Amino acid sequence: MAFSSWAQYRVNGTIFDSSTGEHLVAATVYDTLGQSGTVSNEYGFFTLKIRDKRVVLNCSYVGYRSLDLPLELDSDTSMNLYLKPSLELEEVTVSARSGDREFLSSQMSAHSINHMEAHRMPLLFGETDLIKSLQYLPGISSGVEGTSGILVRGGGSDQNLILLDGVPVYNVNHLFGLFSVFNGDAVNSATIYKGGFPARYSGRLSSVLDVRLKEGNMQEFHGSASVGLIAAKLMLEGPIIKDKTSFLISARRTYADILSYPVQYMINKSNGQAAKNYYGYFFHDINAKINHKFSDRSRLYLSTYAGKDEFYNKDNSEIYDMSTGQSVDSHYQYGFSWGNWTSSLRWNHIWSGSVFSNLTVSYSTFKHTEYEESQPYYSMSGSDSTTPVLEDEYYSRVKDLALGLDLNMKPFKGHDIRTGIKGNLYNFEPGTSLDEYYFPEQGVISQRSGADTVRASQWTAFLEDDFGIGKRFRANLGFNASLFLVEGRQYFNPEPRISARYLLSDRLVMKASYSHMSQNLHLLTNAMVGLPTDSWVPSTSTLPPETSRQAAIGLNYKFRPGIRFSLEGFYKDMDNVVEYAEGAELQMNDENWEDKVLTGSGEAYGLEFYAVKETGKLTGSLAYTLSKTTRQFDEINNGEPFPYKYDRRHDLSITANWQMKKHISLGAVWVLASGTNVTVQDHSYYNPLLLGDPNGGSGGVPVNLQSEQDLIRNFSERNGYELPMYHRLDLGINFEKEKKRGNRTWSFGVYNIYSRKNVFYVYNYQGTFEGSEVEEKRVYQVTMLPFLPYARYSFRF
Amino acid sequence: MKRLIYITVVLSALCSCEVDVSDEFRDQQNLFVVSGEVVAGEAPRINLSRTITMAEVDTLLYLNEAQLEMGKNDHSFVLDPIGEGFYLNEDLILEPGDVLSLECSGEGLPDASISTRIPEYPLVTDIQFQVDDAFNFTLELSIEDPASVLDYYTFYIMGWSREIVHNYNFDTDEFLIDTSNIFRAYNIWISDPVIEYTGGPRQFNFYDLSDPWGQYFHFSDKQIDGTKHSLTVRNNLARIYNDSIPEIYVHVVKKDQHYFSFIESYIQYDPFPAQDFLQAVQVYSNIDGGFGLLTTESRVIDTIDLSEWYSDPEFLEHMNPAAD
Repeated sequence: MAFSSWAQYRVNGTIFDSSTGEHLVAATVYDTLGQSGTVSNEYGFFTLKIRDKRVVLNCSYVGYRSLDLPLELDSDTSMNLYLKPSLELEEVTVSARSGDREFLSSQMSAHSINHMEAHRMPLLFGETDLIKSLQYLPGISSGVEGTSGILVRGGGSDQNLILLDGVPVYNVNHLFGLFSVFNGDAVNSATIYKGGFPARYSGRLSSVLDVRLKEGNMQEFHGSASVGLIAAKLMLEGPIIKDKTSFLISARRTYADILSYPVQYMINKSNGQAAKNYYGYFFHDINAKINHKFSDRSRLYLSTYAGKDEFYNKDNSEIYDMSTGQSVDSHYQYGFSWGNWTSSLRWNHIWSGSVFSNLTVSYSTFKHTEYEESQPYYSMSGSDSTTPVLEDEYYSRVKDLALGLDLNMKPFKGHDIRTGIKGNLYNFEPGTSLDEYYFPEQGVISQRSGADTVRASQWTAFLEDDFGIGKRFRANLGFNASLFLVEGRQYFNPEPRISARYLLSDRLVMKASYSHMSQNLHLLTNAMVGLPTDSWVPSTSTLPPETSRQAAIGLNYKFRPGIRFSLEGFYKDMDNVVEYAEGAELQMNDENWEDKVLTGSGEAYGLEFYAVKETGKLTGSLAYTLSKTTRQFDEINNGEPFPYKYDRRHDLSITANWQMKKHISLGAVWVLASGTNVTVQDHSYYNPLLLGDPNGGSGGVPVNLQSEQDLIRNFSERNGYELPMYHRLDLGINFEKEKKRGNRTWSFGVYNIYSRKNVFYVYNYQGTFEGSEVEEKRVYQVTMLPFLPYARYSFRF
Repeated sequence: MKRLIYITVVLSALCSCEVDVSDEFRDQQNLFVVSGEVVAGEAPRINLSRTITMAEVDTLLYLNEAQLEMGKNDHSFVLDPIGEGFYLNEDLILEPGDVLSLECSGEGLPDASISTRIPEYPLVTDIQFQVDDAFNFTLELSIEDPASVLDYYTFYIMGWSREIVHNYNFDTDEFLIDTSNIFRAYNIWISDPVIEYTGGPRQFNFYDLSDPWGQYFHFSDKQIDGTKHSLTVRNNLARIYNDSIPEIYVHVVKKDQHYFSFIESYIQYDPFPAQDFLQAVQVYSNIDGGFGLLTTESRVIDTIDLSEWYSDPEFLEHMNPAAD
């Protein structure tokens, strides 16, 4: 054996989009002679050990022309690789190796989102939504119709770790979840993990969504703008110092409040009311990022996201002042708002020996507020001449400050090692009420009440090794350990992880994984809708961390380049999942909020089938999930296990995108799923303690048939009523055209084209109805989001 | 509440419609509602009605033609209808420790059944009644709780009270003021952390040590298991005075667990929820195949004679100072 065959050299570098300078995440680098390869990490960095001096590196990425690079090595080498986008879809040739990335990886239960594809899919209200496109994947279902929540393998919406440039986002909903906070124009890449979690991720039980923003074009100025039915967007990017410093800024805002103002003005005017009453809603968000390159080995990123939703009612009127006997101007305003703010400062450095380091300091906060302002303020007992101003605010907030260092290295051939440490400081305010009265003469009188602020910290360390044994076996073995400190209590969470694959043939691979996860943050949410009023609370001395164990096994079959099939089975059990106690109110302005919370267990298992075609004029996917999910709480349902609200036995999604002409594409989505499970009021009966006593109970008063108080409305077994099956078809068409200054796209389409009346909830009502004076009781199904057309104009330059 | 309004506004804007699906629920099966408080030493009196389904107008429908069979320690007894949904067998006297079963059938409804047991009598000792110069009285008694058995207690004092009744006469358009003797539970003061709930069938409350007044006091033995526990009751004779019947009756009742489970759920139940999206509360029922509650109890009643004080001239003067 020649000595030269053991002369190992290291090749490392970063892979970029040649047109924008953006790094490419999970691009493939393959040594065609040595037949070994790797993929770039979330910062585009790769390192590869080469056995021979001569090497031909093939670098590829979906949607880009692959690059073959012959090299003659005599030492370790660093290089940046630039891939050219393939603009014309019909000419896209995705190399076999690029399509093989997921096939050959030891990682299972993960999907990378093609955001370009997401742009071409039919849109609700014309808005591209990254999270909605996740709902078309197997094992991932939506919550309430049309919303951006995702429920992964039987987990709750709070069990998803959603990272924006590595910073957790605590609420991803705009407009009650109809849109997510992710602005598609600013997103570079997104990967979701449903199981087989790499050890570098921790903190949630059911999924990790890692979203990376674009970094800003280092070469030239570009941008895009779009106008949809309810929102407008603008994105600008470019160099501040060419090849050195770039920026990206992207913003959007809805304009329903602005457009509806003249209508409300006319209504107020035509009614001739003294009161001028206006309702409004808006959301806006902004993403900004600055990227500075000190050298090819060293970069600094500063990124921030800020978003806010606000719903308000303003009422200006004249009212009668009882103390003076005169009319006075009255101003009344109430509403609520919610929003996230995340920021991160990140330093990436490639050290000698191809050690890639990432040092990050980040801050994330989420706050929702309900407010009321009244001037003058009249109490129930009447008014007086002091005419105070009342400001009343209720809020809930979580703050998360983190500092972390992680390293990526290849000390031995075939071993890709990642390790890191992280510290988080948390500040939770589960619910605080603040009432302030401004008296002209006495000044401000404040009253503060609610739950105590809870401070906590978490210290995390991880180590993972992605390695191969022979050509057929590859595994990612990892361990994550965290220590959560709160209220003098310590929770140590050791979490072993393993994910492995075994090549049965060139086309067939078997994968298996096991993950132990823990979660020290809990979202207290009501059972019906995803409200921004949900409160984040930590594990406390009486509320232990949630934990889960998930095992999965699957087969991946590569039919031909660009066409793959996968079949996965999983089993997951969860402990200490939280739920509001029966009858608990949603607001948490209660010092003893822990008394309102129940802890129980959960179980989920299922089978997922996924077929995807990524190349050619017709692309698309088919995802089918057969699963069962239950919860068990000692205090609910007599302690018996009950179906989870979103326990969907069957969940099928079919997506298709047809590039019918060079500039015209058609998109379609069809979704079919078992109905959600709801708790309905099924029987009523009169209070048995009153009926059972011939004297009418101990109070001596018999049942009052007219009194609702003597009637008990029984609710079915928790989540015991399954709503009718859910299905809908969305169609969209995109017309793209190259203009002098850029690319414009007109998008038209329809959400729920056959206007399927998908049921949101069921209720009954007793009363008299039109055409009859006899009292009746009727049962109604409430449906949402019927046939909804959209139009959208966007321009990229 | 305001949030609900906002949400309703937004959702209403997005809702396509409401669909009347009442017909789908017309065939929903009614179920038995069994109601009864079985008392040791007495004949069982059970009430039967049926549930109101989702699409039925709220109404109380007693069932008088069902078959009711009660099993007592492996012997069966038929209960006969006596009207207004009640069923009775006066030959059947139940005793503490009896194991009961009840089978309901007929009326075209699915069968319903219950199985329960009558608790032992509570052991009440050391009853003392004292009155001070201001006619404040203190009643002390001890409950000896057996160890290692789950026990549930209800405590109250019954008696006659003279109440003023206002009757409106429509013919003369005048109020007629009269007095009436009413047998009822007195409002009394017990400051004791073992108490868990207060209140009666319409309204149970969590016991509040800062305001320890109530008529009915309910507690389990979780804090006093296997111990001899003393209860101290205070009030003033003037508040319970009745000039014709100078007696009060101290009730110590041992209840079964079903009664407590009912209280625990009913106290969470709100017939007028302020928020439609609240987590639904299931009121406890121990009827298999139906709804309702069959509870059992054994009670000890001690009578306290107050004639000594009620005939005291000082007390009478205190009660009627205008008599001079």
